[in-house]
Amino acid sequence: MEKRKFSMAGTVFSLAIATGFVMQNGDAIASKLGMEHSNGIGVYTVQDIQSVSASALQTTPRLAVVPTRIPHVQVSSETTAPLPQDPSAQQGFTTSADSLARRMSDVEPELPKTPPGRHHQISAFGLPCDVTFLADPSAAAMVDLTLTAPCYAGSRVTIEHGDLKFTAVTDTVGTLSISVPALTATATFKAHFDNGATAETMATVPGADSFERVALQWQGVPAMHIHAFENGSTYDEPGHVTADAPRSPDFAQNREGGFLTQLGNGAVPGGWLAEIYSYPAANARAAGIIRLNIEAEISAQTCGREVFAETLQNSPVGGFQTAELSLSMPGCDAIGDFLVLKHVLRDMKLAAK
Amino acid sequence: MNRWHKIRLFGVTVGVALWAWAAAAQDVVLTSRDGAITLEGTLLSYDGEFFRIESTYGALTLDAQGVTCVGPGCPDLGAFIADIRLSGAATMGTVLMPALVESFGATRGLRLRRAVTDDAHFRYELSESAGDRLVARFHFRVSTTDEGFADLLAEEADLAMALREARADEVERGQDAGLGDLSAPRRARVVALDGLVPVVARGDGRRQIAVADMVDLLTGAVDAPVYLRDAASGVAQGMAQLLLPADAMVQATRLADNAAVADAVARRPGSFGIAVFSETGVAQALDVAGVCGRPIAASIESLKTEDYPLATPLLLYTPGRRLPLIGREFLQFIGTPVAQAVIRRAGFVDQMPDRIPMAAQGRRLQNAVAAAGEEVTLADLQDMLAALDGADRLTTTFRFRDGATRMDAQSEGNIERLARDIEAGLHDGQEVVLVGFSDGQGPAATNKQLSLRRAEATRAALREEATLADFSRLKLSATGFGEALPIGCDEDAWGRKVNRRVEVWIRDRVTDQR
Repeated sequence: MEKRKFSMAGTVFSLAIATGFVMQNGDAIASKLGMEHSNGIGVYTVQDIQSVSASALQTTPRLAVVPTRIPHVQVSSETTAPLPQDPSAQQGFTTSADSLARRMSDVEPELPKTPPGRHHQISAFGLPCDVTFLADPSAAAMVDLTLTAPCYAGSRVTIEHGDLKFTAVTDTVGTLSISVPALTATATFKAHFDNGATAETMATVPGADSFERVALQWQGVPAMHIHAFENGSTYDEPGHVTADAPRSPDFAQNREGGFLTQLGNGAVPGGWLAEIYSYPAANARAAGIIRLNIEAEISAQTCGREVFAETLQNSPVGGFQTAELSLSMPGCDAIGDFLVLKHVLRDMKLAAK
Repeated sequence: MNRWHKIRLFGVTVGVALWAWAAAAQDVVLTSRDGAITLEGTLLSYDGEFFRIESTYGALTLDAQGVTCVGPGCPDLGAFIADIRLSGAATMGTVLMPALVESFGATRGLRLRRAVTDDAHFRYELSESAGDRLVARFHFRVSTTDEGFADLLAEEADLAMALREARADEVERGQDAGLGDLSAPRRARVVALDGLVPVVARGDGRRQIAVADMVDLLTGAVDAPVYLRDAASGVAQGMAQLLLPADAMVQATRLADNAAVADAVARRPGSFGIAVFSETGVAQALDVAGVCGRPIAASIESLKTEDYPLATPLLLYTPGRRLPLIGREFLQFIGTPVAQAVIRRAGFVDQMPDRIPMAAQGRRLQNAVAAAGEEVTLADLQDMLAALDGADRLTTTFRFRDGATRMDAQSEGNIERLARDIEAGLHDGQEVVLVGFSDGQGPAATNKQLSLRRAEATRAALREEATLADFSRLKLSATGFGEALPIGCDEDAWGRKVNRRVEVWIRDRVTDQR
């Protein structure tokens, strides 16, 4: 009965969707991470996927999280870091100021340094704990974010841009580099660590207004995706843009079409994930239409339940509008199928210039 | 002073309990604020603004602000959640009405949540941003115009989304169900305008199509793949009404939504389909020509003026009973300029009147000159041009049902809209000329008289509607030019229907301003 009900919407797809390494292996990784968590040591290392998997990858760099146990290391902004255990950091002597500072801090742990009045903070690799957060505009109204937080190595961090949010993980030395679509010409970004520490940055992206964007974001388990069908195309044609075929910002820069950006680390339990579809609408070569669907996978975790998400799209009264979305998923006899929603995201109508 | 007078009393005999807050039979005592008058009874419903109680005087409706409620049946006034159920046409339910609900919520600063079962069943929950209190739920059931009426009649919907007016059998069933007269003027309101548009694939070469050729394609006299909406849809029923009977149509591929029709045609060169103006996608829309030529394209202007012969107003039918307060406010919102902008952004045609200068009407004048001859003389045309000199045509146009002086739904809405504008002083200092035209059947002199009569009837209707207007501030005149300025071809029924009309022309009376 359930199944029949949702079939009424028109379309049921049983596509085998592989969304890249992270998604495919998300469950296994998440369970490992969960174990790390239960030990109270939230330390992950992040390495480039190429070193983990030989699978062919898209041009955009992707990260896979591989849990690495680093015993006895507590990374926190409130405690002074002990000597690093990483052997690579101990090879030979150096006379750099960082190294000196590190050694001195170990000797004189209470000595106040910068900023005055606070404990001197230094990372496991001897870098000052100062957090820097940089935003550089790049092609297709994207912003390249670089977060450097040496004392938050392998830490969860949630980036917010207006109502858009996603959770990522910093690498072994506490940096995170990621490209995010600018939703507004004046784009502010906030980074939130789990302990409440935040950093903020801003970029001016004049090109943001010439892009139309739409975003879908959700937390944790449910696997959902935006499917964009450009100018009358259908499944698996070149104009079908989705997680499997996201294209790159260059594509839009060359006015050839839109592209999809996936943000967030699927392996982080309870983290926010986001998909943003961008189209250079102001520079459209011909009048056209982009049909936008949401597909939500009916899985053992989601079947027969209500799952939540948020949509960000151009409001009919102007500006971006965020709406909460709750989906009543079909029953568990439909596991493996997809709930297809054609009308939650409004189609983009393009006027010829 | 007796404050009891502030309590609005509505003697209502209908025994239908409002589903919005269907109270179990419980006793309430309502007391006027000054304590002078007390009414006891059983609470029938509370809609966020009014109590309805069954008292010894029968069913009474009272403004909740004017009374205090005591007793086990009293609702928690602050906790009232309005439920408004919309059912009917997919053309309205997929994009247009959701966009209006969203913008209604946004303009009131309410938080928005869309709870979805599937594309056809969803609801919006609007809550106050501060405190997160849920104030209203708009439930959507998106199907067809037929289903919308059925749900309204079964009291399973509060608003029916329809692409056509209620049929005689639906009006009758409405009477039987105690819903009042569905065909009464105020029961249907035009939310927006749309139109049926013939489409082909881009690069097909065709830019226009004659009605006769369209009929050939639809009857299968010319062999080509044809894509149409499903037979139960308002779009298909509109086709049957405007183009040709449903049973005469070829075996076409029927699709369940408007986008699918446009996309299917766009993907298949050589095919043909009937899409809607709001959803032509990447298909090529064709101008429609009559027997005598005179192609006309579906455009915002031609749909507003109903000069385009396949215009379809999008209607919202209200129930005979009162909606919860927020439901009534939503209906009011639909008529505001903010909502009209939302309608346009959503790809539909709004109803804000636009001015079309004479200079932009070259094709119409060309038609007029070409049609001039024995019946309409050059002198007649010169008279007309002199009468309209220096004036602009308003997109507001009045059209009449076949062989009747009664206006169609869109025109009835236009009377109300123009009357409100006159009341608001929008046309102060202007001359508003109602210009009647007729079709070309029968003698020209009779037609001229007929067109004048229609213009005068329109003027009377406007005066009657604009009760608050000061008519000394503007000049409202009526004139008729018969068959002088045809839009469609008089040789076919469509063309004649388009030609029978009363146009509104506006002249800024600069000379009278001193």
